[in-house]
Amino acid sequence: MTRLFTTYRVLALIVGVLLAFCSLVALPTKYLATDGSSLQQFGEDASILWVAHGWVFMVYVVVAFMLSRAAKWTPQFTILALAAGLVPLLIFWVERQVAQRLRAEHPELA
Amino acid sequence: MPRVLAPRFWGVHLLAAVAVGVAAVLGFWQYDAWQERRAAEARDLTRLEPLPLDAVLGPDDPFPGDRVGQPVLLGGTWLPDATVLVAGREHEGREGYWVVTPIAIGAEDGPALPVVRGWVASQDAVPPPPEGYGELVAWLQPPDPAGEPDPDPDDDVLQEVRIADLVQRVDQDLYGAYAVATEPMDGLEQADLDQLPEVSRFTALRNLLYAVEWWFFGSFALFVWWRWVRDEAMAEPADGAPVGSGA
Repeated sequence: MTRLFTTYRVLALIVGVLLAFCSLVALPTKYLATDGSSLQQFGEDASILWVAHGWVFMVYVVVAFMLSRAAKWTPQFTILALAAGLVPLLIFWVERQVAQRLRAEHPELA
Repeated sequence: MPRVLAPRFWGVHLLAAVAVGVAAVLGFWQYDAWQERRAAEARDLTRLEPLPLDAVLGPDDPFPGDRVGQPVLLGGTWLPDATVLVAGREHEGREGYWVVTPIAIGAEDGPALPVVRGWVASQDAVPPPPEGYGELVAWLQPPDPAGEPDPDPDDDVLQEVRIADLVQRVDQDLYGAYAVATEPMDGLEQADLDQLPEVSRFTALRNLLYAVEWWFFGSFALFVWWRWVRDEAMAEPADGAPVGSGA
């Protein structure tokens, strides 16, 4: 479970950063910046990272699900952990919750 | 009755069905968007600014693969005696003929390019071919590959636009290509392009990637549901309390 836990944390970090960047930087610059400006173009180009987010999120979902089985999470907490990859910034909080829970129940994870 | 079919679990089954259904539909929606955007891009390429023919293709050049559907500016002398019909061409769902007349580019004895002047429903309705000097804009097309043999090689009806068949009807060299008039000429209807331009492999790739993602999430929902059913079925506790968890 140690490796699963580490994998989960790395993926959570990547998904969180990509989602935060896409939704808080790429999205506003693409739609709010003046049409044709270099800022707007940057938002347009940066939007390709949505695809990266989607594909890393697929892996995240699988790993989070495996972890939820191994750690016997409740369905509610499992759904929260899976959906966290879709709400900007939520995943950083969820990841800390996950870490706290796992460390409380499995002291060997440190 | 199996435990997992109990009414209190119907909500779970319904949720799984909805999740899988929604993901599948969204995947197909993205897949359609992918195909449509590529088709639109291909049509856009046929609306490029026309180039002079010699900037795209020389008389002895092989067909440039990235110039399918390129609009070109043609100027030269029509060769009305070499006019042929090409059978089995569809236009708006009807079968008819393409009317093809070569045009000698530049000088009267210069190399000639077969031009599809337009489409016609019946052989009897073919207007007389143009004569003398003419100028037009046409889409460049690669010649048809050798295919079905012409059932009657002596008449003026061909089965395909093949340079080898056409070259016997003119005194000069032919280009390794033909062209389709962007505006149908005198009394003919628009001939539809056989081959649209090739769009980049990356055009609308994002939509395809999203489609795959949606189908993945649909499969994942199915997988979670199946795990849940298996756990519930295996639990089968005496007191009927749910033991299995999972989303």
